[in-house]
Amino acid sequence: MNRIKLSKFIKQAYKERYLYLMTLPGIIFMILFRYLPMGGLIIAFKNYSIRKGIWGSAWVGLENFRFVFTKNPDFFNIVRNTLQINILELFFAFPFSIVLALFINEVRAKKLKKFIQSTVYLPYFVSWVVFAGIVIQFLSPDTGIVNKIIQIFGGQSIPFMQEEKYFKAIVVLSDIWKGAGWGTIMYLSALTGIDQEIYDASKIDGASRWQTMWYISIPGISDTIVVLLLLRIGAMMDVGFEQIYVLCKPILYSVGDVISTYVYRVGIGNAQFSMTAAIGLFQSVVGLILIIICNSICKKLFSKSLW
Amino acid sequence: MRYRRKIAVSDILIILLLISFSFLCILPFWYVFISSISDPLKLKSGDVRLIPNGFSLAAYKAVLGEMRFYRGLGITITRTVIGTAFGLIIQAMTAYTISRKYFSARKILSKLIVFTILFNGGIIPNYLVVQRLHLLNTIWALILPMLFNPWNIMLLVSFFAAIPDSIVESAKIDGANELVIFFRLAAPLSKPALMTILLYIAVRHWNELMDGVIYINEERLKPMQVFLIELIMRSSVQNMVEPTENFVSVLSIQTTAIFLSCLPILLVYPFIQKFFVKGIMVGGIKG
Amino acid sequence: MRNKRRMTMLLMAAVSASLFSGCGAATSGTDPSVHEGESNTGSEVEPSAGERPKVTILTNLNVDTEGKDVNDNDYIHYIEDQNGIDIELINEPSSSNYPQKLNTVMASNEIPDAVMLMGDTQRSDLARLADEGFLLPLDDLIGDYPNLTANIKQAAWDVTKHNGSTYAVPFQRYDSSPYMTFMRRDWLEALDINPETDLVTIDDWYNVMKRFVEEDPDGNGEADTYALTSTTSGTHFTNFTFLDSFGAAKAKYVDGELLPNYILPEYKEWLKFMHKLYEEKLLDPNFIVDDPANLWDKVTSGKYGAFMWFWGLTEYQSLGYDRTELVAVRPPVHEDGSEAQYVYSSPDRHMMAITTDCEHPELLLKLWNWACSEEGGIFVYGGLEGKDYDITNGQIVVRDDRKGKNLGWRQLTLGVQLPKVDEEPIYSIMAQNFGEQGMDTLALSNECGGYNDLELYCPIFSELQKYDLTKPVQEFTDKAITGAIDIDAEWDNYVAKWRQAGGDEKIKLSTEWYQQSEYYTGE
Repeated sequence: MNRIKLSKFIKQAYKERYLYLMTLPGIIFMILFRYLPMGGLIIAFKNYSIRKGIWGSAWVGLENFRFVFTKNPDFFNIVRNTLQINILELFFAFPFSIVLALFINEVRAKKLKKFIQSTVYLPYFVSWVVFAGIVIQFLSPDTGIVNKIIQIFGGQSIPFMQEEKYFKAIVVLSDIWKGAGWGTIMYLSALTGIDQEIYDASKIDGASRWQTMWYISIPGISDTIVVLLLLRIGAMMDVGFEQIYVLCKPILYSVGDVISTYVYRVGIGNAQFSMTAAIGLFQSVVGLILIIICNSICKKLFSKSLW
Repeated sequence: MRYRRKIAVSDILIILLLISFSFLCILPFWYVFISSISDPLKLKSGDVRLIPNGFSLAAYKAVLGEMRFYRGLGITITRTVIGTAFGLIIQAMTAYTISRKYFSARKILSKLIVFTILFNGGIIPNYLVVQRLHLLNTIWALILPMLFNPWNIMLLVSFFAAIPDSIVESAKIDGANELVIFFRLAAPLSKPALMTILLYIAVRHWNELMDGVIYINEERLKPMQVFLIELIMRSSVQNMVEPTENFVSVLSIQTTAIFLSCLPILLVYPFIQKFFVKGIMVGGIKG
Repeated sequence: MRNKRRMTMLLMAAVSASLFSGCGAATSGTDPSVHEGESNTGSEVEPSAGERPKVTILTNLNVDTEGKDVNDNDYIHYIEDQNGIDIELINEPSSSNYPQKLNTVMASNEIPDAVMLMGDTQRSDLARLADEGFLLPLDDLIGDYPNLTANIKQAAWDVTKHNGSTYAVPFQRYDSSPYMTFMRRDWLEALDINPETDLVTIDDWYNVMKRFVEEDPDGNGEADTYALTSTTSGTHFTNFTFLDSFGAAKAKYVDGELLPNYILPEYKEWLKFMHKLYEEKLLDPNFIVDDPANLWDKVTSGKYGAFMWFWGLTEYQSLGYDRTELVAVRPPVHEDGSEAQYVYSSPDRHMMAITTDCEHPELLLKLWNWACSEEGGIFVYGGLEGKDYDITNGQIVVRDDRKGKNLGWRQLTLGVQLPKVDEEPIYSIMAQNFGEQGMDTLALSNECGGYNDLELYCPIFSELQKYDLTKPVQEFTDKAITGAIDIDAEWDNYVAKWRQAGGDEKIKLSTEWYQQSEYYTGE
């Protein structure tokens, strides 16, 4: 039985030999620099010691996980913050880039379009350390622009960076400000792939711009949207470290401390390698489950998927 | 022949919104630039101004006056050029093969690739692999690990999948093999996507810091970002430890570093934008 | 197209080549204690006649080096020549990346001869590396090096101990407690306040601070001044002016338990006092989000009366201001009238640990012994003759443009320093570097400075490393001071929560240690 399968496989492989050849370098590097180091994840089940190495360290089973989930009273809070921020980002930041790209696409004046395209991605290059300084300055109770505007309308100055209820919104909004423009690049390049004739035909049929966007542009870039969406969902348990680290001061820990800042404090700061690996594994597994579920949903609903 | 619409209210609205957002995006960048040429003695943290607070090129002198900056720049340019060229080819080829629906290994390969997006071994295992491959303290440690990028690959797959099967079929009938189809057909048709990924890879290489810290010990092989971070670190410590006539505040160095870091990419991007031309797809395959 | 195909083939060949060359090495496992004989460090080369022995040191040299390579400059060459060795520094200048660098280097096969570890934040790394057998115990060796034991105080050595053995040579700060509280001299004069007589008790301070706000000390007719400013507890905790005055700065033995300072009832009192300052706008409300970078903006704006920072005030001088505008003041006395202190985290800026891989530890010990000699001291504080100073009439005269310059560079290149600066010839060199007022402030900081002794001498317990013990403290402290929570109502919850989050275990282990230790007084 197996011999037949094997010979069938070899025949097929020979038929597709060029394809295999083309993916060979990718596969080699994938194995070398992704799968080989992945073996290191087993330290999540061990008590890793640098001296004993990855193989020599003692097994502790699920002890690291147990500790993180039960012995840290704040862990639930930290996970909740991570999820909340990510869900907000999913609902606001993710579509914002798409809408922005669609709008840019609508601009007909070439020079204006180029100007807009060349400026919106600029904040992406400003590091969070400096960008946070700008955000904090904007929101400053005495001198910040936002509060000055509030005062003009007769309101009271609000210390935004000290109050818990504003923090998550500040995170998402500043993320949009910084990254939305950069995020449009992929969508814009996808939009160029839509046949111009379809647009022309729809205009002749009298379609409004909004109808064009909804029935032509969005479906036209839906492949890209789905890929980015699924990958985004896979990262649901992870919020970028740098942004939170510079924006969240101790007074806001209860709403702002996320998994990555916790890992930075204890995992990296205290050299808790095994615990870091365990938390990372937890994040990855949750992401995997979410991707698998959403991938199936996308397949059924839109017949688009990652695999 | 294009049908021209009159200028509608929605046109104006969109343009206004976009222009406002554009200015909002220019602002932080402008602030960075202005801060970098302001007098470090007068520069206040977060003080977002439109014109410089005094004029001084001290920060630029501090950065550009050091031999190590240029050495670092050389390393960064090298790794970016080589890494981007090879990275793009490898990632594009892999994405193309996965996009071929008839490829028998398609599904399993996609799953393997997505899996690597989610699961990461961590800093020490990655370091050990690089060490065992004798790549430590070589420029290859900065290039090879980044050649495979699963995120870019999955993005490219969707683009390659959009190429009509009919084109590919007719090329096959003409006797072309997959390699030829890829280089002569698929790649040229996917220029916008490839250029975008090229930009992604290049920017990533240019700004990458940690691999330079962990994999490189020798000063002369350290990429530019490592030097810039070092400069920032030093100025914050230095100012605490010793008085100096050439006081350069941390913020001055930070903003100068940011500005110098993104300048090359800013120069490259307009060229890439040229490839974002509408309607590249050959329309004549219908019916 | 042919070119592209060729390129692809070339690439694949290159990849296969690197794969095969790496294959053999990749299968030998990842156990770092196995030496493969493929080590790249030069320390395995047998020194031939004329070649000097070599040592490699992992270091965090984060100061300016005038554009020179850390391994190739006048200072390091001088050190090498004076001691007959070659030094190779593996430098990671970024303090935030240094722990990663340390861990990856220790995980590799190529371990340097010595590593630098920070004296406060990396004590846990010292303990961990010592436990794993990476570090050489030094107790039997130090006896041969008199300068080390004579010139470095016992307290500094105690910090480098773990499980009864000494694992590193300390870099003892010459400024034992570097933070001081400074006040604006012009405000003090305008309001006719004499720090010696009018700033003795906490109540005195409170009254002075009220005057700083209410009596328009900068004379501009506006009520726009603050008495005190600092930064968030998440970065530099510069709020410590009153901490020890309330008895809240040091760990205490209470009812059979050794409690850290931040859960003592005294700490609660201190929080209430700070909250009062915040409420009455004596304390700048923005301190909660500010970092040290903002501190100088505020000080130079002239609107803040007092703040806490390093005694040298070098930034102030670099910004073009005159340091004499600021006056260093002692902390207010305890409730019972006894002197209080400014408590700092550690007498050692860093520690130099010798690894078990080092073949000739005596080379390093000899080097550091030289560092603690008068010659070494002159080098660190004065520099090089002809470059930084000249000798006139037998006296060392520091050149004007080199005063105070490159001390950090020399200190960190050498790794260890002579901490005694109150004797000649070092004293006059320092006086030239920092000026008379500087030396007075230094003397004052030594007088007023202190440590959280019991916390410092208490060993680092590896079991405690997995707990997140600082977060609840910082969070509660900032919230308490700003009034986001009611201190009295929430105090017990805070302590209970901290205990539950690992605090109980810390208390248990610390207490057990304390009761067996030499410091135990039976209360």
